[in-house]
Amino acid sequence: MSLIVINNMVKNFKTKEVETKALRGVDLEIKRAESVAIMGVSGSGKSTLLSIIGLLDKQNEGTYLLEGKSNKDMTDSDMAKYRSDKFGYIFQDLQLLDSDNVSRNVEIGLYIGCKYKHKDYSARIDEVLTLVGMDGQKKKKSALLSGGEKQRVAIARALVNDPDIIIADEPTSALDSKTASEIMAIFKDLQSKGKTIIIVTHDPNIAAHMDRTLHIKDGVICTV
Amino acid sequence: MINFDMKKQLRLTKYSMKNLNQYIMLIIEITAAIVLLSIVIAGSLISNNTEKYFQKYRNSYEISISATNPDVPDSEEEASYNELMTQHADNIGMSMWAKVGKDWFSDDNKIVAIIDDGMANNIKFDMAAGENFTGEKNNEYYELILADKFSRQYDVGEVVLGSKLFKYDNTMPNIQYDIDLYNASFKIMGFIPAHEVLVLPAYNFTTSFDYIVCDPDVNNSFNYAGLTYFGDDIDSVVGSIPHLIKGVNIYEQTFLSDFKSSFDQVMSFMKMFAMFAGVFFISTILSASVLKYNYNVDKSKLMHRMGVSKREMLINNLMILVGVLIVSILFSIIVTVLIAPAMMETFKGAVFIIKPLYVTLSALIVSSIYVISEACQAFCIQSAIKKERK
Repeated sequence: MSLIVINNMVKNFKTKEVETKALRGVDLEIKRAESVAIMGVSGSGKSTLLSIIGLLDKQNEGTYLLEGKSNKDMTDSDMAKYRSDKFGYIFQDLQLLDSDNVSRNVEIGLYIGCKYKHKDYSARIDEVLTLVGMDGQKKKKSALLSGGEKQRVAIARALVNDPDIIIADEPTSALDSKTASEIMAIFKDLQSKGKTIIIVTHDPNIAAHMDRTLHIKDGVICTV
Repeated sequence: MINFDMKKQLRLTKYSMKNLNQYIMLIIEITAAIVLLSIVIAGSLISNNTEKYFQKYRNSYEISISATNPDVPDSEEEASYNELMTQHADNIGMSMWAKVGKDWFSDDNKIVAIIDDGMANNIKFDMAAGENFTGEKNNEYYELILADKFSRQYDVGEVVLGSKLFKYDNTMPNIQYDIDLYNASFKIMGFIPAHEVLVLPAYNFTTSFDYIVCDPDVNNSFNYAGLTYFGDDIDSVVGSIPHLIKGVNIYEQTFLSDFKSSFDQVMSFMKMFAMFAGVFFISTILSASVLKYNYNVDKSKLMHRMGVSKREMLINNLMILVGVLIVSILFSIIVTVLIAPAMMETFKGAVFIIKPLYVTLSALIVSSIYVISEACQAFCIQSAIKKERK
C-alpha cells in the first residue's frame, strides 16, 4: 500500500477580490522510503501541494490518503498529532529561533513529539547534530550560524523526533553547490534508513538525487 | 470526544517556560517596577506624610516641657493644653516653645528666665496667665523680656501669649527690655536670650530668677550664655538654680528644620527621578514586550506547524499565564516580606516614606500588568496561528 495517495486534488485561495487556483486536480502516489522531488516555477503550486501533504493545510476538492486515512476525516488535533509523530519539516525560511542556541532549536521537536523520554533528549540531540555535522556547536546561537549551518540545524530539528516522512521546501536554495551536495547526501542516507523524502526544489541537480521528480505547472503535475 | 494529552501539555509548558532568561528578566522587571512604583506612590504622598511626621516629631519635644495651666483645674489641663497645641500648631514652626507652669504663678514675685541659645528663629511663649504683651491679669503683673530678637537685630519675631499671636519687629526699642531686665524685683516673666545672660551674674544669678527654662543641654546653653566669661563654674551655677526646667532642644529643632528643608529637596528630586525612571521603565518594558511577543509568536507558529494543535496551544498559553501569575504573586510576597523591611531599615530615619502597603500595592499593580500583558500575548498568538496561511 502506498504511503500517500492523492486523487484529483484541488486547492483554491480566495481573497475578497480574486480567487487563485493553486492546484487544479493533482494525482499522486508516494511509496514508503521513496524520495521524491517536486519541481516547478514560482506560483506553480508545489509549496501548496507540499503543505497539504504535510497536513499543514487541506484541499478544497479531491482526496488525500495518508496511510489509508483521509485527511478530510482528521480534526485539527488529529492533524497536529500526525504532524508531530509522522512528519519532519524543513521549511523554506528554515524558521529557526535566532535568539535560541542550536540545541534549543533542535529540542523543540522532542517536546512536541512523544517518542523520546526527557532523560534521553540530550543524547538524541547530540545524535542528530552529529548526523548533520553540527556536533560541538550545541551552544552556539543560531543567529551566528552560516547559511549552511542553519540549514543543517533545520534538518536536525526535522529529524530529531525520528519521523517517517521528511518534507523539505527548497532545502538547498541558499547554499553553495558543495554544501547542497552534502545536504543531499544526508537525505540519501536517511532514505536508506527507511525515511520517505519529499522535497520541493528549483534545482534539477538537487532533483537528480531523488528517486523521482514531479514537474508541476499551473497546479497540475505534468511530467513524472 | 475530546482527547487531552496531559503529558504533551506539560512537556509543551515546560518547553515554553524553559528559557531561564525569561525568568531572570521577569524577576528583574518586577523588582524594578515594585521599587519604582513604591517611590512614585510614596512621592505622591510625601507632602502630607512629611508634615505629619514633623508635626509628630515636634510635638514629642514640646510635650517634654512641663506644662500646666494656672487658670484651669488639673482635670481640664491636658485637654486645654492639647487644644492649645493644636491651635498653635501651624504657628509654632520650628521655634522654641514653652508654656507657663502653674506653680510659677503660685507665689508673688516669681521671676522666670528662659534662656535661648540663640539658634531658634522665633521665640514663642504661651503665657496663659497673661494675655497682653505687657498686661495685667488677676492683679498680677508680668512683663516679657524679648532681648534676643532685638539684640540680634532679627527683622521680625513672634510672641504667643495665650491664644494671641503678637508680631514684633526691631523697631521696638531695645532699651525697654534692658530696663525690665534690670528691674528684676518686679514680678517678671522674662525671656532671657543667651547673649543677654552675659549680664546675669551681676544680678546674683541664682536668686534673680525663681525659674529658668533652658536648653536641655544645660552646660552648653549656659556656656554659650557666657557664664564662663565671668569665671563662674557652670556646674555650681546650674546646681544652684532652684527650678531649672529643661525646655525645647532648640538645636535639634533647628537642625530638624534644616533637615526638613533638605529632605523636601531630596524628595522633590526623588519624585522627579521616580517619574523619569517610571517612564523609562515603561518604555523598556514595552520594547522588551514587543521583542518577547515576536519571539513567542514565531515560536508558537513553529510549534503549531510541527504538531501542536490550536487547542493545545491555547491550553499551553493559559498554563503559562497561570505560571506567570503565580510567579508574580510569589515574588510580590517575597518583595513585601523581605525587600520592603530592608528598604525601611535603609531609610530608617524616614520610615514614613516606604511603607509595606505601598510595596504590596505596587506588587499587585505590577503583577496585574504582567498578567494582562501575558493574556494579551496569548490572545495575539492564538490570533496569529488562526490567521496563518497553511
